[in-house]
Amino acid sequence: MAAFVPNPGEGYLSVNSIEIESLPDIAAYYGSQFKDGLGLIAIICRKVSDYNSAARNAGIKMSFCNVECKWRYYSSEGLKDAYKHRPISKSRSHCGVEYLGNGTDDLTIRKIARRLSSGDKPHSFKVAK
Amino acid sequence: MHQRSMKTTTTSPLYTGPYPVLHSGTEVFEIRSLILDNLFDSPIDPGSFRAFINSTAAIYKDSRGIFASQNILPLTTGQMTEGVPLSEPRHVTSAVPETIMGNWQLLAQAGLTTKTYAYIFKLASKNDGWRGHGSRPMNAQSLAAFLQLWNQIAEFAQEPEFVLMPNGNLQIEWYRDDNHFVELEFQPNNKIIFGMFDGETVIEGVAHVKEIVPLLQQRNFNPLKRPYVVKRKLERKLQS
Repeated sequence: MAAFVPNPGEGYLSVNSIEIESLPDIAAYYGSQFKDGLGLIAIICRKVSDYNSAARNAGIKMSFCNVECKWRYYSSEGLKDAYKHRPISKSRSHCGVEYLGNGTDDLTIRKIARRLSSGDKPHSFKVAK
Repeated sequence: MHQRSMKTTTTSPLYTGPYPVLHSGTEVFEIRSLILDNLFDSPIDPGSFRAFINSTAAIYKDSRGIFASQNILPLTTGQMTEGVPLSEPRHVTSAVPETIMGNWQLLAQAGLTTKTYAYIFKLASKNDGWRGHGSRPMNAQSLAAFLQLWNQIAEFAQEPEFVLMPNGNLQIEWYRDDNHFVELEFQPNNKIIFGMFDGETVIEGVAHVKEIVPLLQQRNFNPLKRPYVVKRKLERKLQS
């Protein structure tokens, strides 16, 4: 469950899109960030529909914008993009789940995280320098 | 390093107070040796860890807790080979995580398994930024809140699994499958963010530590049933 809870102060939950980078590449990036390039990395794959479903279950209203082909959610400040592509220099697949961030209370975040953590087991990758 | 501190000799008695258990310097150094050799090197040796916990618990018992903050807790690598009088306060370095030091007595009384003690130490050893920018080390008050609850339920509860949350809170989990599990996240203010899934119903929310036990006992998936589980297993064993 903790895997789906953002770090304090983060405006979104950091995720990666497997449409942009492959799982081994994503694993290698996290290996270099947190494991000194060595060790086991576990990656959990979830579809956007799983995220939407978990968010709705926790009381977040979602809607799909047919014009821009984007998912949006209703926040206290109005409609916002639910998912954003946020590439960084070392990880071009980096994205953000925007409603799992600063504007959402802890209880709602955990409700969503619990539902996302059940289901398919993580993929495990051994990374080496 | 294993026996280095054990071989250390001191020219004067380490402690001259009224508590006989600490008259021998060897005992104290032995505890230090176990801490430094086994708790923070990987992998942790479970046998030695248990010995360490037992020694600590015994000292607590015998000394009625008086040495807890003054003499036993501040253990540092630099002092490993020195004969420091036990009555003198010592400076603390990074050898033992502060979270553990702040909850030493509760940990010693908790009666958790060796594996669990070792895992809690491992989680408590994580530094700022352990999971990226903004993630925090384990909060001592969160651990204390868990230990307070555990001391109430240890006799009849199954031992949970432990997770460190990115905000530094300790979370415990009892998991049977995706539809039957309980998660309790201990906040520093003695509140618990809980999720209880028992196959038929789900309850999620925030409650005070005191309110959690009755809540758990009302659920179909109740992890506070250890004696019954053990009894059933024994009966099955005898039958087979």
